[in-house]
Amino acid sequence: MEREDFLMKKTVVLFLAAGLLVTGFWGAGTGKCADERGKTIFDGKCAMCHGTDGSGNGPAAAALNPGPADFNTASFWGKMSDARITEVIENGHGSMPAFTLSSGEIRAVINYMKEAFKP
Amino acid sequence: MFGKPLRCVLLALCAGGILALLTFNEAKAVPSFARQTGMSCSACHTAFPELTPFGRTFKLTGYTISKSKKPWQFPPPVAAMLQGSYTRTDKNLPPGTAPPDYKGNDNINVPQQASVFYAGKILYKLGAFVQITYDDVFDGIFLDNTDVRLAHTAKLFGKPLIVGLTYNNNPTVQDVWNSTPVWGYPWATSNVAPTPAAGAVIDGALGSQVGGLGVYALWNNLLYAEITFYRTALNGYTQPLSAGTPIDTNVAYVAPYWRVYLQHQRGKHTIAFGTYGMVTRIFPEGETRGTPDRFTDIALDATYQYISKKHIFSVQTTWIHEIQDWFGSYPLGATANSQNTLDTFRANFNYYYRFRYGMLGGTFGYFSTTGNTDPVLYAPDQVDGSRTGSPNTDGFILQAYYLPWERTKFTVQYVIYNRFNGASSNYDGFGRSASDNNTLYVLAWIAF
Repeated sequence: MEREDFLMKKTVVLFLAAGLLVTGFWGAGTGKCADERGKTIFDGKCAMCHGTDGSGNGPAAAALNPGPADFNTASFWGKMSDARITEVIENGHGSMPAFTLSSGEIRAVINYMKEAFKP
Repeated sequence: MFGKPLRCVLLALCAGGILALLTFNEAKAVPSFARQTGMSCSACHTAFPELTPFGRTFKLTGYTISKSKKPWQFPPPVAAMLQGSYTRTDKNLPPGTAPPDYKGNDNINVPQQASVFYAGKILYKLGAFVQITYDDVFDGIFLDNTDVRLAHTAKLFGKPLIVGLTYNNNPTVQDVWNSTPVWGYPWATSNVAPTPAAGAVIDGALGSQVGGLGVYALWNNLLYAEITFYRTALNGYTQPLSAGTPIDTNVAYVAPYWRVYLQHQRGKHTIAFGTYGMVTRIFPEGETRGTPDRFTDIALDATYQYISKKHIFSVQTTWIHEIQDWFGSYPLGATANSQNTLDTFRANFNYYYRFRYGMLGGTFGYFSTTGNTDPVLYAPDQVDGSRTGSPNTDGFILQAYYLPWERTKFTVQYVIYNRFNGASSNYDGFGRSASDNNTLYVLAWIAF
């Protein structure tokens, strides 16, 4: 009886450990996919003006006035909330055109911008 | 398990779905500017051909903004468009007055136009918009609107400056506002319906008849100035710009064109005020030498544009004042007056609504042409002439649009004439009324 209890507990612990391991990898995989999606969207749609380094010096930047924002500065993140960034992406701002992105895609882009550029 | 008819339906649905996916998929089927930039059409256009602030910048920088860092564009920025239409006037055209091979009414024109474009970067800072068109009424292929640019960005007094050269074949094709003739409302019209007799030279008479070389600059996204010199495309370095088009408007000497505007952008709002004009000397009809007539066009224009995620609203207006000095035609007896004036006014209000299934929109436009009475210049003639010798025409153009996706536009247009060639009733001397020319025009416009 005691041996059976031990085996039962051991099995439960092993399953729990396996479950945590799987969940941990799953969660990590989801985060990595979201970052990659954000980077892919940024490089494809934003980098032409904002640059792949987010400095606002992309190939099209020289022709735009006002110039594209530099995402590497504390002042940008100080005044631009996630909601405001979302609003600019959805509606455009000055020479910046509006972009048709889903809420999930916008979230991915903002997360990527924070991870890659925010000081 | 499934009967043959149902399998056929399912196969058809699958084929249609695949086709729809290919059509909707930006990576597989987009015009060349969108391919070059990697952006959707809505980045540069509200509803084509209207431009957004970014679209105006793209054009002023020589069509060279690209997601690629290479000095050339590969694959080449080639695109195409197709227009098919239906035209109906309130009263049939009398026998012998419709364009060749067309009926007196209810004309289906497919294709009305088919065009191929080279539109985008050529090399480094050199880019072009080149349109080669087949027109069904013209029944031929010709070099249509063409604008080749070399542009450079710099700074002046610490502010951004765009400078460039333009080589083009149609005055105002190089303009970035939809208030000037080439890209102005109503964007497209029937090529079989009657049109008023009079129009300013700068208002479409010189397309593919001239070539011009000009220089322009936009400073601080605020002030724009341009001077372009046009000459006939009959010969010389401008001759290639008229490929496929017979020259029937012989421009003498050099015709200077100018353009100045002020613009201001604040958030979703843009406003612009400007002036443009041209002095053109044209030999009398059928002549290639002697004393040319002189046409002095002075114009004002204004635009307001509001662009948000769902709502787009714009207003464009222009007024063109033309002084016609008939130095050559009057001595030949081709005009009754040695000098005439002609005033053209247009104003249109556009609204678009973006929603899940595309874009809906509409435009209310008013037009007016007024000028001196000249019974020789505006003589009676069936449908196209004037009983009173007056060019005065005015009316409204109403349009409704549906764009199911960015590269396709369905338009229903109705033109209402209050006056046509000088009168409301019996305007031509043959019993035709202005309202007889009211035109229903349905257009499908697809870009690839």
